[in-house]
Parts: sequence; structure tokens; C-alpha cells
Amino acid sequence: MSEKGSNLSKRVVFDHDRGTMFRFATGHSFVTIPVGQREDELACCWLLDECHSWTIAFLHIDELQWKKLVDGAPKGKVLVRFSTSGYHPAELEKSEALCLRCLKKTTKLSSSDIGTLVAVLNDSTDILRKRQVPSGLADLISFREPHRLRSLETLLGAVMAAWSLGHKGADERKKAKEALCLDMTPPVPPDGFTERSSLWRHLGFSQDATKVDSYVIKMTDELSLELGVKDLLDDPKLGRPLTDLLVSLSQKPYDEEVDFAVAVRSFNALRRYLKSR
Amino acid sequence: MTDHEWSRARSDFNHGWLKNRFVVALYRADRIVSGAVVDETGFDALWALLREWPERLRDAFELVDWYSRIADPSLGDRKECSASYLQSVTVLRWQQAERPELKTRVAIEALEVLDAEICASTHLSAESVGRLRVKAQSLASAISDLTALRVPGF
Repeated sequence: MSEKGSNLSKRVVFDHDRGTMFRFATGHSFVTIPVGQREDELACCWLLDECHSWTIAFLHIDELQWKKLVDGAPKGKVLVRFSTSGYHPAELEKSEALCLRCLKKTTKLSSSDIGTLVAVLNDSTDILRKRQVPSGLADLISFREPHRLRSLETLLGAVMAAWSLGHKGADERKKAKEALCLDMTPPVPPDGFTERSSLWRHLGFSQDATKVDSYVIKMTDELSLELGVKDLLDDPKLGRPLTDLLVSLSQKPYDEEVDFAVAVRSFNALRRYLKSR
Repeated sequence: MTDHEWSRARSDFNHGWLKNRFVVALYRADRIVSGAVVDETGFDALWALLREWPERLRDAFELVDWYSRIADPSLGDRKECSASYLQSVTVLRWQQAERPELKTRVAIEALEVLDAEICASTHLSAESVGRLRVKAQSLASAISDLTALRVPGF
């Protein structure tokens, strides 16, 4: 097929090792960023200064320059970072551009991997922005899913539903209903649904009261990991409400309910966080 | 079919076939009929994909059918034990946020419109290729909008 116009210069590559990724990318018509092999900083400057001349960039570049690109690359650009050791699934980078990390080690990449990435990135960036990965890309791109945060939000939603109907005062019923934002009337909960022991069970822990401290430690670790912070309290939005929730969940007696205000605050914070992702 | 299997099947149809093959073939055909490129065999891939359509149409209807079953309001009525209470509330919340009945309608309409256009396409002209492309992209958008409900143990 002969083309009268060319879009090929829209794909660029920089690889400070000039290794497998570089070889396959140039084989797929990527243009080499005009800097020296080890000049990561210059490559970064070129990408930011010459935004008009590229759309997709495949990069094997150091962390500092990658962060600058994540901060500075404009909307409409797609950057894929490669590494000799590959990357673990992570949160989608907060960036105007679509910034992805390839799971596969550069040494394990094949030419068809690069071809698959190009085909999808030419067409399906909208779905990747929603953290959905087309099945053909599953072993190349993946996002970390906040399963624990989601299950906590789901559980607290059901607690709000129970409280919006239940035995609490009119003011609390109203607050729970407002937090839930559900137009339909939820079903009546079974007895004991909102008790602490029931909530632990729904979070996947047994009802062994002697182990609650270890549940709190495990939950704290899992939530911190999903939020990408070392200490749960380091997260500015969810740290405090979730810590308060875990404290309330760990208090005796376990056949009583979790603190109402704490649960509502946690639910609202979780819902906002998950909606904004 | 689990939600994971459904998501995979949706991706296979929507990305693997519709967007990455069918729409790409239509773009290529568009450029051939407009004279932008010269490609003597450029229509072959498109004709082959058009022949696959009846099978793909069945796949797509199955996807929408699976999704529409979660739209059934009776799914939110289960409350025999606390686990299914959790699921019931989650289904109700998802139904309110997702509006699955509306999205099902849009997807089925887009499927029927594209099917009618394909059935009418006995020859390829600039106009028919353009119409096919617009309708295929509408269908891709409608299918992308369907989001599976994810409830542990559901």
C-alpha cells in the first residue's frame, strides 16, 4: 500500500540502553529522539519542548525524568515506560497525558508486543484512561485495583441502607439515606447485619474476637498499599476517616454497631475517592 | 459467564474485532475510495470481515443479553441472608448509577442499525463506507459504555 501522507513521525522512542525495546520500536517506524544514548534529561526536555512533533512515546528512561514527563506532558500524548525488570500493576499516573508502564521486562519483549501496543494506543486510549485493559494487552499493561477500598465502600453502602430504614432516630435515618443517595427503597436487612462482628465477617475475617487487633493491622496495611502510602494517615483524604473507622470496628463489644458518624464520614470519603479515580 | 469472562468477551468483540479490525478496515477503504491511497487488495479484508458479521452479531447480542439480565430489578430483592443483603443493596446502587436498561436499549439499537447498514451494503462506495464507519463507531461507543457489575460472590 502506498501512502500519500505520513503520520510516522508522531511515534518517538528513547531507550538509554538502546536495547530490545529500541530495536523493535524503530522496526515499527518509531523515530529516535535526537539525543545521545544516555541523555535521559535531554530526551525529557525534547519531549516537553517538541510536543507538536509526537503523539506516542516509548521510553526507557530514568525515574526523575519520567516524573517530569508525567507532570508536564499535555493532554493527547501517550507515554509508555519500559524497564529491564518490568513494572508491577500500579495506579494510573495522575497526568494530563496517558502515562503507562509496561509490565514486561525489556529483554522479554517481542516485536509483536510492540505492534500490539501501537495498535491499541492508536485507537483505545479512552478505555485505558478508564483503567480497563483490552484483553490483547493484558500481559503488557495492567492497573492496580483498589479491591479492599471498593469492598469497604460496598459494605458501608449496605450499612447506610440498613440504617436508612432501621431502628435509629429520624435524624440518623435521614443522614444515612442522604449518604447513600439511593432513590429506591432498599430491602430490610437481616438481624445483626450492622454489628461489628458481621462487618468483619463481610470484610473476609473470621469472627474470632481475639484476633481483631491482627485484622486491624492487616486492613491498615492493605488500605495503605492500595492508596500508595507508607502510613495510612499519610493519605490526605482517606487516612483519617479510615483510621477512625478501623478504631471503631476494633472496639468491644463486637455485637454492637460501629460508630454512626465515623461510618458515614468514611463512606462519603470512600465514595468520593472511588468516583474520582 | 462471570463478570471477568464477560469483560474479556466484550473486549474481544469491541476492541479485538470492531475497533481494531472492522473500523480500521473501513478507514482503509475510505482512503481507497477517496483516492488518498492506492491499494488493489484493500477491500479484501473488509469483505472478509463483512462475511464474519453474522457470527459477530450473535456474539454482540449475547454480550448485551448477559448485561441486560443484571438490569432486572428483581435482582435487588434478595435478602435471605446478610451476604445477599449486601449484594441486593449493591445491585440497587449499581442500577441507579449505571442505568443499565437505558444502556441496553442504546446498545441494541446500535447493533440493529449497523446490522441493517451491513445487510444493505451490497457494494462499497464512499457514502456506504462512511455510513458503515459512523455506525460501527456508534456501536463501539455503546458497547464501551456497558460496565459489568462487580460484587464479591455475586
